[in-house]
Amino acid sequence: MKMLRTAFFAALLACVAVVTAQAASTPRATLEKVVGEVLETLKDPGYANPATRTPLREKIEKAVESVFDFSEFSARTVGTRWKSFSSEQQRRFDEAFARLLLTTYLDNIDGYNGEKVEYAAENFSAKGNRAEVPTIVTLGDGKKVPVNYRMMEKDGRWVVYDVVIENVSLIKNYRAQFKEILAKDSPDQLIERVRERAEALNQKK
Amino acid sequence: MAGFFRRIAVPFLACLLLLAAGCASRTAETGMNGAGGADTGAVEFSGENDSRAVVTGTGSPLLAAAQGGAVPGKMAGDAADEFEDYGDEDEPLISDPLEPWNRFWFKFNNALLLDVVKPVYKGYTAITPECLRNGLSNAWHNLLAPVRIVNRILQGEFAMAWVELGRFMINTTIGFGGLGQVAQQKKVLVPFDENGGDFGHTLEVWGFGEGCYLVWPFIGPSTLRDTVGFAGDTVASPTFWGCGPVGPVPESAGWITSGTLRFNDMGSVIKNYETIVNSSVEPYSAVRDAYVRLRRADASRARKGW
Repeated sequence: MKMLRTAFFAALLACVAVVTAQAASTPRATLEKVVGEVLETLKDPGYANPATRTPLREKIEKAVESVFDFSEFSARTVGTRWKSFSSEQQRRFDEAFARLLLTTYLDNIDGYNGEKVEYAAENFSAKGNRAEVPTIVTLGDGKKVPVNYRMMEKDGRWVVYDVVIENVSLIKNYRAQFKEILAKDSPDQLIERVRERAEALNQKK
Repeated sequence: MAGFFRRIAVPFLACLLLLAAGCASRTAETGMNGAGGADTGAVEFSGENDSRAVVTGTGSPLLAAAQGGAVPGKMAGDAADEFEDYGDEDEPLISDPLEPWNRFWFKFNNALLLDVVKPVYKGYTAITPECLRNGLSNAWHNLLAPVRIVNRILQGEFAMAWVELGRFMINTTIGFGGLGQVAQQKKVLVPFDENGGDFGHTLEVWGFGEGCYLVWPFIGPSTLRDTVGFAGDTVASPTFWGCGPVGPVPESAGWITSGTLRFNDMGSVIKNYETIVNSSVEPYSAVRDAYVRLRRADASRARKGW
């Protein structure tokens, strides 16, 4: 009996150790790992060929989803009206918006063109539960674009909840749009418009 | 045709300058008062919660003009409460009292750019080699260097003015009028940034508020301050004072040159515009938000000498 208790205790300790080890991973390290994975996949010669792209594209989407918390994106873009959405509407909005973001940003990439990402040390908020990781993306043509990732600690790991490109916050940009739409239309109409946009982009391919 | 434009354009620009000088000085005044009264901290038209917190504490008129939460020595836009959840920040970024008018011209420009300019530009890229287009683009930016130099001096950014002057001299002489960019960004002493060398930012440095949002036919999104800036830069540009009724070069040559070179640069404009519009659900609001934030970012970069 005593042995059982010791074993249980040890197992519990092990769990705690795992959780803290995850939390200890810095926002920057978390981000660097995922961005590195995405770049590696893009470098795969198969990505440039549309016929062999699909599995690689799925791999990238998985990597992105592991660090981008799209439900956080949704709640923030809708803003104060989010609470008036039913949980079913929230779920549909999440889905449609995540699809739109992934489609827009991944469709712009046809393959690896020598893009590079440099990271600077993250800035933490006063409470330490939010961080901003500044990066400079060097595009294929040598143009440099500052891209800052806003991250938060959630369930013991760091997730991205906003991307700020050249001072333009993705969340705030969509928030301005959604506010305009929700002033006249219902949540269902908004969800429909987000879904339609993603679909239109998909068909354009 | 060119004469007609010139006759219309000059008085139009002059009127704009007068009109906006009157309006803008009023907004600047309120802006400064707001920053002085520490607890209100309201910078006219800055509208955004996060920049407000920064401005309030300092009470400096220069910072009052500086929007977008730029504090010297900090990253752009990382005011402490930017990390908040953006929970109840529901104030508009910029006032837009002329929204119906703006929306009308937004639609007009949208159709013009995507249905007229884009196909023509596609044909243009098919018949011209890339090196020619890049060369012309360099030459155009080089031609406008005097405008940026004057603005940098007016802003008190003497180091930047000096760099611009050096680049202008080298590119104009060894680079054959700027066709080749000899002065590249390698081992520079002062980081060089073309953005921010315009009269709109000069006005900002002088303490003018940005005013309301405006969309002009053909020109695109702007603010009251940027409109005056655009008018000022147009008058200061070599294609204006070098040609036409003012300068020695025939008027038509000036219009053709600036028109062609502007068109040659449309590639990146179309691409950037499409990126924003394609990903947006409500394009008008998306472009307004992006325009205002990008301009504020340019301004804060210029101030920090990036």
